[in-house]
Amino acid sequence: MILQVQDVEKSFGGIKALEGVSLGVEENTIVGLIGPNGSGKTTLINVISGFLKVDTGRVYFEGKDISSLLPFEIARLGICRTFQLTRIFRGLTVLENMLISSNMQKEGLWQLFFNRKKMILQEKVDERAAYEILEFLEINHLKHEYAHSLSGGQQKLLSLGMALMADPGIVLLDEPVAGVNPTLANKIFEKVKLEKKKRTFLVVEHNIDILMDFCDMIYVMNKGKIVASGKPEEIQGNETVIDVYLGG
Amino acid sequence: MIFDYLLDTLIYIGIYAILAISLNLEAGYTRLMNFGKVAFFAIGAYTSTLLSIAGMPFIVGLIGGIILSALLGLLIALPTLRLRADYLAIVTLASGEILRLFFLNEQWLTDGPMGIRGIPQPMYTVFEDNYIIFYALLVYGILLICYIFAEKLINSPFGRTLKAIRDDEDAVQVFGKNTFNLKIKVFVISSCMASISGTLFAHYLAYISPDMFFPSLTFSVWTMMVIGGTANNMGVIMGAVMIQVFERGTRFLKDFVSLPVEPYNLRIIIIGLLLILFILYRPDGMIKEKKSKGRL
Amino acid sequence: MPFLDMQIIINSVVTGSIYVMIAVGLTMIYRVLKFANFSHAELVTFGAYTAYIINVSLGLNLFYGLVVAFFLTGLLGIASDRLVFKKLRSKGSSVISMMIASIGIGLVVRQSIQEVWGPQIRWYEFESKTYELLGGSITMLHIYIIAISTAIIFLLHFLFTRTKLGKAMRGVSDNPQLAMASGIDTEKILLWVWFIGGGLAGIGGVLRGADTRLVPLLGWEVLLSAFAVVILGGIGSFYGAILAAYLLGFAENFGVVLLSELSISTGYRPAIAFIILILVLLLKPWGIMGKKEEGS
Repeated sequence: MILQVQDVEKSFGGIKALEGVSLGVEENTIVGLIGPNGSGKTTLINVISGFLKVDTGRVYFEGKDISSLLPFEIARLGICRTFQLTRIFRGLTVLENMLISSNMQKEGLWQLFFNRKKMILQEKVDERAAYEILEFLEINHLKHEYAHSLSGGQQKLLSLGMALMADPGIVLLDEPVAGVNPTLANKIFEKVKLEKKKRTFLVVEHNIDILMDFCDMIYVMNKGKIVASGKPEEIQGNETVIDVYLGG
Repeated sequence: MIFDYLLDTLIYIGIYAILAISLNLEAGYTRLMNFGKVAFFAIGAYTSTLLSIAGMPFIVGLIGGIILSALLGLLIALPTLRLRADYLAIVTLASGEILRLFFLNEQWLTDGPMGIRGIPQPMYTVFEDNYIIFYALLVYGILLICYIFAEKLINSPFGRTLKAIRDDEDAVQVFGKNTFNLKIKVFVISSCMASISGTLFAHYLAYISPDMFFPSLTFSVWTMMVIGGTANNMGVIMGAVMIQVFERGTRFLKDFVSLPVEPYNLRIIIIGLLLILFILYRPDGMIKEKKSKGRL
Repeated sequence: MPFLDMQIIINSVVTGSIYVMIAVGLTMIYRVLKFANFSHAELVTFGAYTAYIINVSLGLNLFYGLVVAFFLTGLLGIASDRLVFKKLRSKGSSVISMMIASIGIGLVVRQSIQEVWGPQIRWYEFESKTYELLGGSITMLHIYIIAISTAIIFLLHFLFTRTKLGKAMRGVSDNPQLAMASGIDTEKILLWVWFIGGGLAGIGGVLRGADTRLVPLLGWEVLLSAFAVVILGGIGSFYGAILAAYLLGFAENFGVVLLSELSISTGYRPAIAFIILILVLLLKPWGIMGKKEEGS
């Protein structure tokens, strides 16, 4: 288990957003997290990535308790996330966006003025890595465009690229294909699948069908609780799941 | 006479350009709302003045001001930079005013409202006859250093991450960046640079008093940045040129024509209008931010 | 404590009564539009000088001045929104642009006032007897200030709890998105927020001017205290602002006595609000009655 969530509770002003949530993610798998709106999926991603603190319960990454760490500390351990509403750096170019997410380059001031060689060398290495990923995602031709000039789908690809660039152990994808046309959505998941041998994915998604095709394991959430879990084929026929989706 | 007047204007432009570049680092590239820029300018002016009067060389005063400014910057940054962006604006604005009260009330140290006269000028005996020329060279030498420093800083991984923080701070943390730490660094660096500008100001005038450090000075520098071009160092230097030519021009004009309005009032009203009009109709200023090609 | 006497309590209530008037508009605008409106200071000053025209230039009773100040300052608030802030909103400008623009508006209004009335000190014309009260003294003016402020607080309480308009105003300030979704015309409500908030700032200016004196910096002098009240009370909280206004009024009046007991210059009075502001930011940045904000 690379990621383990244990009995996590989180409430906002008396409303329970997460209630006794536990789940585990195996290394080099794609795990899906589905559920209707307001079921607590994004809250759970926020808790794992440290943007929200748990009320009770624990989150373990590679056996280490990360529930009280700050977002950037969690990121440094090798957890990278994307956001439901794509958050890229609009005022930077695509390439710069990619370089930001490299965790090899440090923002140190010392090297900037006294060890420029090392900095420039690292920059070259990062640029090459960035081009490779942009190539892989087929948006390399946009590398010098401002991120804000990209289409919605291209922005989704860029944010996936940035997550890969960080080279994390696990990527938390929050609705990576929301608002994206089905062809591109399939392509994005194909890319994710290709990356599976290098890392693990936890994917929040509204679109169940696409998860069925690509996930190794699926958790279903409703009203802040995990109500079902299993392999895609087990979930497909599960009555609770059908209830959750049809009953609202 | 005219030559001296031009040099005098040039020196003011240089001093304010340094201040504008320092504001641009924190406010232009990082969006840290420093509404108390004048505080760091005043620290530079008073610290080096007091050290010089005590017999220390200019360079000691300069460095003393930088160190104190860095400390004040830290003191303000630590409690506020974790909070919403606008709290920094309120706290810095207030800090500038409190500092002015300090200079006004601690007469034993600063001579209070009377101000300090006869501030020693660096290397005056060497360049006595052409001192203003020497001082202009000194100011522009330091401006050049500050400009190159700022450009290097911005065109680096450090600067890139600052710009990313400006766009979306939370999202930067996703990539393992300690944004709080980076914001503190740039705030302190800017504060130090503002202090240098204040030191140059005090030793040029050879006289300082608390009423030179009103908040309107801060907003004059903000205007330089906004109209010149936020997040463009050349732009903010242009802004400094325009505002200084305008300010000194209206002062100059007063001696020749009688305006129906008080020139000081008119100047501030126009600065206010420029701020509003540029924010409304030309938020990028005259020169837009440069697009980076990702090369260092 | 020998200096904790009736006089301090009377003075505190007077100061608090004035701060409530100034802070209500500031806190509502801060909550709804999410930016610190620095030009609020000049609404205060504008109100004070409007009443001066009625009271001194026209020789009428100051009460008429108070009423006219309310309406005209309210209209100035609306004008600043229509001419600047609404345009920025429709362009999707950042909170930062709004704050810079508010500084610009402040500079224009303040310096225009200085152009018309000059920088000299002015006073309203009224008579005010002094009475003994439990060992302290209280003037007729103080009684009026407290009575007017209290009456307005009750009116506002009635407005916010009993009327459709007031409930909509609270709805908009509690949760603008939700209010919009539930069919409230946010822009129309905003006009009322600016009118009432601006008008009350004008009344605050008149009361402050009557209690002290009139200068073009009148509003600017209380701006820091007003922000301290808003943040201490919790941004957007009407009842929090009332409580915080009296608390700060007490802290300032008690603090001034404390300063002189400690042989520190009472010129540091503005620093009291600053220290309280910093303490709130360190310990309870969402204020005593505000809502703690947490990530999305």
